[in-house]
Amino acid sequence: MMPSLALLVAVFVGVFTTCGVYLVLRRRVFDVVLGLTLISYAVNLFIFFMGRLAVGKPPIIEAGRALNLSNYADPLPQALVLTAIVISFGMTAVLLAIAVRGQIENGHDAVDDESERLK
Amino acid sequence: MNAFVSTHLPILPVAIPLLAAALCLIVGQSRIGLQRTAAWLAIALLVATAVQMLMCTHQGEVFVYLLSNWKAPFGIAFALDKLAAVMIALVALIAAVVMVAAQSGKPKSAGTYFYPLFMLQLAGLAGAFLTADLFNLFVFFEVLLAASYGMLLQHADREKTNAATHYVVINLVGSAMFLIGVSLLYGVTGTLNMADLSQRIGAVSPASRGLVAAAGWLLIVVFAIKAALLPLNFWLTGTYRAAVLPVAALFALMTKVGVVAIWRMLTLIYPDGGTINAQIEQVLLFVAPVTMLVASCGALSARDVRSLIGWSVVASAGMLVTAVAIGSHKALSGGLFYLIGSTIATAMLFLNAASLDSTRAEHVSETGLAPSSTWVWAGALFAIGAAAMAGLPPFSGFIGKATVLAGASTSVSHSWQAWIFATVLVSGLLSVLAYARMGSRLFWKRDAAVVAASEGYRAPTVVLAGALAALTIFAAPVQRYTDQAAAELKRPSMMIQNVLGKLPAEKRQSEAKK
Repeated sequence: MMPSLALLVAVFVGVFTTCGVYLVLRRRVFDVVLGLTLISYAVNLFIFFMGRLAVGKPPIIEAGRALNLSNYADPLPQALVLTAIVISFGMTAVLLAIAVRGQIENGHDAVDDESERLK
Repeated sequence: MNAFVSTHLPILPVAIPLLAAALCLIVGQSRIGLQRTAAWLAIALLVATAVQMLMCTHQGEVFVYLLSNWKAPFGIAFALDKLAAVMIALVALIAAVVMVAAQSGKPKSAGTYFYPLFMLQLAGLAGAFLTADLFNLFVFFEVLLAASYGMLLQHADREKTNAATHYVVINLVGSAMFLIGVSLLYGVTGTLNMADLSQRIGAVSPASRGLVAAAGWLLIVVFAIKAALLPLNFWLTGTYRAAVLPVAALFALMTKVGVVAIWRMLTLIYPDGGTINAQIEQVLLFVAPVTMLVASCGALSARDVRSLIGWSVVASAGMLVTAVAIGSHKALSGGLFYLIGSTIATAMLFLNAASLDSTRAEHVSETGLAPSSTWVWAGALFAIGAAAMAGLPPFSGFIGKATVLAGASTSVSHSWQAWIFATVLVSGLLSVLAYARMGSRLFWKRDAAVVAASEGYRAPTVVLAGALAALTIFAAPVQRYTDQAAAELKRPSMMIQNVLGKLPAEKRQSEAKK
């Protein structure tokens, strides 16, 4: 396997997660939503690559390609990541709706009611 | 029993409410009566299924259902053992009671789209208890969470919106961690089936052991968020305070999903005897009793009934996780018994609080001559719920706690024993104090704002009180059942054989012909 590609992917997952965690810990709901989005990107990449990095290999059986595991990519993580993407997309939409509602109710965008300083 | 039901039994508790939810949406908001009929029908079927499940599993068989007829571990399998059957029965009971309560409240008090959301929540709960696939567990968690977001946000005001923000954010972070843990396990072992994982985790190469341990810790953190164990419990009280009350009674089941997931994890996925299992149990033996203590202190500091019940939910989660951390057969059996009792007691207290609550706004200006018969009812039911929750004899909480302590006295070292006994007993005492204080403030104070209790929620609350009493009177048969359920949990080999050995349908037929 290509060590340089694996390193690149690992670094990207790490950077996304770091930024995501930083943003989730901030005080504004908007930042938290962005942070959760970044974390879900990182998680989706991570799931995908847990099926191992494979370049140019299809996940579906092809005519003329010998039937052994080294010729094919693992299709299961691809199915899992599809589910995870759909769920995180829907949940982000729900959270955004709640965030907008909170902005209307509170008049500010703070995660916690007490932190009125952000006004 | 006809053949269709016996083959498809494990999938029914998920399929029935899902179909009903779809029906409710098709019927639409304008024809609420039809929606109600569909929901009632689904709940009646769910109760029948639950009874059937309890009877079927009584012989000690584990029923396995292969979705789309794919052999495990390639497809998703559902497994119905005694633990799952008990949990489905609890879901059915609470669902029926919440349904009655939702009718007796003010019209539309439960909110728009109540029936579809309610049905989806039931499907998610049942699926989470039945599935034998880790990724599928994630999906059912999301189903029940999505439904709970919708129910929580009914009649959203400022407090509810803020509580919902915290609740959704912490659950999204939890989902992300769950996915990382699940995919780590898949990357190392190549499987997501719990039974298959159980076998493969023991056999991973030494180089990968760190990854498997990391996945285990991540999963424990996620389940601890759902179960509201100590450093991760702060979302719970706010959320339960904010929920519309009949819905809060349904939420009594939600922390139990986390608890049961921890039980499955420590008995099946990371079975007894592994180093990771031992490490996690050591940490839980410390964290879970601390959760109980802190939650009891929280209960003492609670200023209204809802926060008080919320904190007792946290305390009971601590008790249940203590039971699995002790890990002996007796402790698990006692834990399961306590789980049944505490879920019913929580739901009952929430419904009773709802009956107090719904009149508060209307009758504040009336005269203070309180002690009517409704008032006495509400007080008596509060006392029963409080006694059951705090673990006072003769109620079920006491029997459960005593069994767990008896289990601790035979299986953990003396210093741990002292720790568990001290924390369980002290937290029990603190809960009794908290409930006594709240009860006297609610019912005996002359100038209390509450003057009368509504009768709307009385019938469902009395049903739950009856269930608690039945749990005490018929403690022996129930305990026999929980004993057997704990024995099944301690012997995961049977579950593993059943799940992995189950053949797809047409194979079974062709083998029968031979």
